[in-house]
Amino acid sequence: MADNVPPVTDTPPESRSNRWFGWLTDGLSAFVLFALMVMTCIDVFGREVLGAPLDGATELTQLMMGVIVFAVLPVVSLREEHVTVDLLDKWFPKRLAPPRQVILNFLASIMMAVVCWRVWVIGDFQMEYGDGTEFLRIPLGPISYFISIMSGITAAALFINTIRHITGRAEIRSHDPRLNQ
Amino acid sequence: MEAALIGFAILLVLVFLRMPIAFAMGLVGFAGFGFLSGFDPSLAMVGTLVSDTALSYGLSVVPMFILMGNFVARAGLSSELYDASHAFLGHRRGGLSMATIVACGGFSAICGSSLATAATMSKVALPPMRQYGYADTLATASIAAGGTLGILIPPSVILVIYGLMTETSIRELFAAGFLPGLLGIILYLAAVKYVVWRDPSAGPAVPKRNWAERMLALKGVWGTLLLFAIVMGGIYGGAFTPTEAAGIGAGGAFLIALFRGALTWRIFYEVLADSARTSAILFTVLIGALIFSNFVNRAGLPDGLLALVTGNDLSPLMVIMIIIGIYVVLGCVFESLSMLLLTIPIFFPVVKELGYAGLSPEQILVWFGIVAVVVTEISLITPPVGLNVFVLSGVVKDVSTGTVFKGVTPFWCVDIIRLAILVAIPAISLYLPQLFYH
Repeated sequence: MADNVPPVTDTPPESRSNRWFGWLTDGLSAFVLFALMVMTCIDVFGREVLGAPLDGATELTQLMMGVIVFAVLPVVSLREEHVTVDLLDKWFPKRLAPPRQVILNFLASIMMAVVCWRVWVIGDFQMEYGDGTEFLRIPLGPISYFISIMSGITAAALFINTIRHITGRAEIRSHDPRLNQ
Repeated sequence: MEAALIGFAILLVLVFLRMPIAFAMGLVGFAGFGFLSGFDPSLAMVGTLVSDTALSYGLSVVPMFILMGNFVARAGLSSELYDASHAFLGHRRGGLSMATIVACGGFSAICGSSLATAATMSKVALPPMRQYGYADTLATASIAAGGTLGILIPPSVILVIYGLMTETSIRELFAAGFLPGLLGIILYLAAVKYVVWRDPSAGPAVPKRNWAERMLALKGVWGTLLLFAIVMGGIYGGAFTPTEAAGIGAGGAFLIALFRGALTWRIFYEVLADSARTSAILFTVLIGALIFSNFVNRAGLPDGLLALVTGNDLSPLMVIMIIIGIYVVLGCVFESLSMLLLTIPIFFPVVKELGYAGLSPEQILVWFGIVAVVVTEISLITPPVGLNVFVLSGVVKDVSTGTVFKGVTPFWCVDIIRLAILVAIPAISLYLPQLFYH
């Protein structure tokens, strides 16, 4: 946990498709995170002890970072785990909370769609000019496309939330455990 | 400057309407930048920022330290740390609370997060305190307060992000966090003393251990010491970069957890997925903050503030006081990282330009980072949104947040004293970096 994450509360039961999707994206992120850790250890061990560093570890780290962060973003967004200030929840009219969540999720969905579009443009540019990493010459276009696609899926996830709040099938949780009862 | 202030006002409204902080900052930043420079440049800026931030080598230190903290939390090192400090301090009045504080300090040396420190410690430290009849207020408050040390005593995720944003050396920041962290422990111990002096029944003494038992308990902490020595020694000594140290630390923590039999496949997967999710949440906030700070800089807010300060002939100390005041107020509302990300781009050029107490600009950056983190620590136990307090009442179901907040008051007061000391005597923060690197 870092310092911006609300205390873990029991997660509500999820539908099977949600869970399946969660495993897939969480799993990819978790795997790459572990691989990054192992790679860093091998790199340092190789350099300090064997005198043979892992070539291109820096570049691989960069690419792996993109995967770690963006693979898991749709799930984080679907579960509405982003950092929010819920200080006014106690006073906010209960009746207006669902419409508010509809608007917020819809806005966020549009924003992620914009990110999807803009990063795709960057990917096109990189493909066109054959941009690659300095040492291993790994093309940068595909990773930008990956980030773009995951942003698109995040936009879709946020849109699903919009619908769920319209139909009243999503709950609204607070950091303060007193407010979740 | 007006544009930036209007932007700020809109941002606050959105945030209070519960828009995720990351999206609120991104939206206002994008719209504001577009309003000032046209929407095509603004769109291009967003794309570049997202892609650059996601693919940043420097930032890979963040998920690695988070991963290290999560492995360490699962490895059960906290119980040995607590046993050792229990053996040395338990026989005093309030001794178990003191032991909790010291153990939190020790745990902070291998974990960069305050919430994780508080959550882990509550599992090992609370049962004995309850068994010996400690008051709930003192027992829970010592964990909530002790936990805040996590982000000050290196390694610290927040110091890393501060360093990356302000281009301050992470090594020096880590060195600088050490003595203020020790000062924090000492002052918290004094707070415990004060509480049991006022009300001896709040923290009864427990049977004294003999030296043989103490030595035995001390043996349990070697894992923690070793991990700290490798990670921080490697950074301080310059053997590896902070990013590499974080990777090694995560690897070491993984091995410790593995050999202690603390990892099932399920827990292993949970630790990884949890760390990845936390990193993603953090990165979203970071990207939002970067977009917002681009807008604020484009709107000339830092320059405007500087002109305002020099025009009104405010002394640097006054300015620091005002900034700290703003932090304390914001800390009541914002969670720690968002608050720092939001304010650093604005305050920090002002502080850097103004100078303070004859420090060089580099020194000011390091010192200001420590001060900002200490203010953040305070915000973690300040009502109404002290997140550490929520963690405690989340883990300990039968204690209300009100009880914890009540118990935390003396700790909060010594925190304010610590802040005053650190502002008055920058040397406490700057002594070690000076010693190591200059």
